[in-house]
Amino acid sequence: MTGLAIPFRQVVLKVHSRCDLACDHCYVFQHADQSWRGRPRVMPAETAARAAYRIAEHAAAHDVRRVQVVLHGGEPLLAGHRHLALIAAALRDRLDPVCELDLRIHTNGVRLDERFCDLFAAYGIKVGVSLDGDRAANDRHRRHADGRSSYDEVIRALGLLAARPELYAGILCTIDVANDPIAVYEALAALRPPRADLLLPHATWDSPPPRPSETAYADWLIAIFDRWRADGAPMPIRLFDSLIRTAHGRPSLSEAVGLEPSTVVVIETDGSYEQVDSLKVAYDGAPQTGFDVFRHSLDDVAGHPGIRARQRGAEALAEECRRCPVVSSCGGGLFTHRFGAGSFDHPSVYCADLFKLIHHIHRETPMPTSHALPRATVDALATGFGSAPELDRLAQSQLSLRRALLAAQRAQAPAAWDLLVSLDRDHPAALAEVLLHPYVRVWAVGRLRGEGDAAYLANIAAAAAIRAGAEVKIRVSVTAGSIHLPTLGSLDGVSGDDAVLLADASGVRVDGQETTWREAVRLTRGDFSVLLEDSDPHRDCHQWPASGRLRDEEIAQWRRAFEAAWDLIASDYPRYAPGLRAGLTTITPLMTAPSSRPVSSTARHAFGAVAAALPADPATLALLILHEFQHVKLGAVLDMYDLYDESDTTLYHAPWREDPRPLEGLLQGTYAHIAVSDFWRVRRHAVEGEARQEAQENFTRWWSHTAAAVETLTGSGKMTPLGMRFVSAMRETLAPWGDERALV
Amino acid sequence: MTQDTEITSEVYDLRNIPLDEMGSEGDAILSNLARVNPAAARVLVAAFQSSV
Ligand code: SF4
Repeated sequence: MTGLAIPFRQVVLKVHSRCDLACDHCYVFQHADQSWRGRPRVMPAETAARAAYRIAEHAAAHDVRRVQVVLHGGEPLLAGHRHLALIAAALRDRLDPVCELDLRIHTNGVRLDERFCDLFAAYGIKVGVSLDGDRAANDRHRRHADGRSSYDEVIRALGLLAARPELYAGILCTIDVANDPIAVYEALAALRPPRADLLLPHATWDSPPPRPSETAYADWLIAIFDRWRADGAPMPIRLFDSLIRTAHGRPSLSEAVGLEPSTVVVIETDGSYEQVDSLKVAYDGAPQTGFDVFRHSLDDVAGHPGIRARQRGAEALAEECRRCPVVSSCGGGLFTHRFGAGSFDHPSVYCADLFKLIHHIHRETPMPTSHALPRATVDALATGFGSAPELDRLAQSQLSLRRALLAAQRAQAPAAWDLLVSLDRDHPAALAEVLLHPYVRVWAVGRLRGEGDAAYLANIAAAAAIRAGAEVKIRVSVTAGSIHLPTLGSLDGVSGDDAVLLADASGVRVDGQETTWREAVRLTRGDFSVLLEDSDPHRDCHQWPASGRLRDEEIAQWRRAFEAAWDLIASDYPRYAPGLRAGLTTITPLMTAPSSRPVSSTARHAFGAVAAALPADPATLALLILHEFQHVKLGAVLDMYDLYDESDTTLYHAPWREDPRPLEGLLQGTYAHIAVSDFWRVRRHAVEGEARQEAQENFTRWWSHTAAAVETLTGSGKMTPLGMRFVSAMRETLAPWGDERALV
Repeated sequence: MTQDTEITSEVYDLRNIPLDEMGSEGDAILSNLARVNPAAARVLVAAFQSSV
């Protein structure tokens, strides 16, 4: 194999060469290329098997991890149930061991029935159906040979798919500007497909599309785009999503636009390889390559000049396109649409439309790149409280940070990365759950410093896969004889530094080793529950050493303490409870201090976790949670915003410490001590005698420390305007408590 | 939502960018890493720039 630039990733398999509709806009039967006349109606099973062999050979040789095969026609369902099953089985048999096979079928839907659906479910085939909009739009072209409408049959087929969402890929709608765009959009949206695409009708400069006005196609699409945006984009529309993505420098989702090299090849019913199907509109024989699955590999096809031309991106475009300001979005449009006077060296025949549409879309979709918080959210957090919506917002920005950190590790553990990519696509909620585990970020940040085990990426992927209900087989990292799966638990008794983890319905194990699964411990009170994290290998990042794995009686003590502490928070400190409920995911036990003094800590990278040694009484645990969770909240705010001048090296007096502190330390302490002051302020009224006196002293002391520190922050001259706003909200919380200092 | 009721942060919203396309979001990733670990992010700049 020589000089193969880009392997094929999408194969269109023509399983039947005839159609049961006679749509007058079809590129297969109604255009220049009439090669279908000489081809077998059905792709024979041996040809399909040979095609499967060729695709597998190609995927293995080029390490292609995911291949999409589209069963196409003519009308592929004409091949019949048994024959389609044979073809699907041949593809699965050959390809499943080599790569991820994304198997699809594009049908007109007329013949779709439950039996086909069962077959598609059995072979994991997703179904795309052609429908041109409402009844009037659809019947303009999509008719039977005798002129009968196909509309009702297609709607029935879509109903079958709506009941089997796992099979439903979406609707393909070919544009006709004679149709009312809004009626077409509304008809598609009413069907609630998982995805839709709008296709420009096939045309070339030699055979231009019907064009009632100069930019009729742009105007038609813009009408839909504006309505779609106003509706909040209720379904993905591939053309629009592609143009929005390419506007922001990301790859297109479609061959119709963008500069991505083409990775599509077509295999006809007789086993001959062709270039993209739409070339049929150019001239008779245009898509032919002269190669076939019996004598030639896909590498041979990749060398064909026509295929190469479609892989050269911007460089293969006409001069006019190369100079065009929207070329990175447009890419000269679909290759076929550039054909005219014997050459493809032209802009698209839809150039004026593409230009206008892209311009419009770029103007309407400014880059939404950063997390933003409503001013009211920042203010609510600044008061020292903050409830569920505020904490959710912070968690979402943490999720972005964690995705960035994860991406930084992708080259270190490719198998784990591939699994993460597919989980991200198919099970984003399960992945997010694991990524938000506090110590995932601690691990990932450690990796940036060259610390920790790169293979732990696989533990993260495995945990997310298990959460998603998927079967897993992957090599994972082993720490001190355990495989830790964040949020789930640990497999103990494993030897070596790494091991192949197997997880399926029967459980989690390592083949050939005697292991024990230990479920992560949860502390639960009512509907609130947190992890008691005594196993994560990255939890020892606090200012005080983490405890070892807890014994059963220690867990029982933690349970009792947590239940009582949470009851106290819920009853006496209700303003903190919603925020804790939304943001506190984990409590990490620390070693007990020799003097039994209360010990607690937070780590900036461990959003969601509070660490503490089990204190002597539940009220102290409540205090430690309230105090430390302030640091969790402020740390996440500081991840998003600059509240102070980071270059300031001055040290400031912190009233609660002997040593002066940098500005961030002072800010963190002050914010945390709002909760500490509040704790004692309320506590004085809940206890009696000496304890009451002690609570009173604690309140007055912490209140005056905190109030003084607020003034130091304000007077530092080093707070940003947002920081000043933040601190003044802190002051507003504290000020009225000053009047409560006398204990009545 | 108008601009004066929202405060834009420096954390890029990467939630809906598929992980396998994060390569083309190199700048965004770096900016985020710089917020969580400035020193390490600087070290990574070269590596990222060559991969995106
Ligand atoms: S808008 Fe026209 S000139 Fe610009 S890239 Fe597209 S086809 Fe080429």
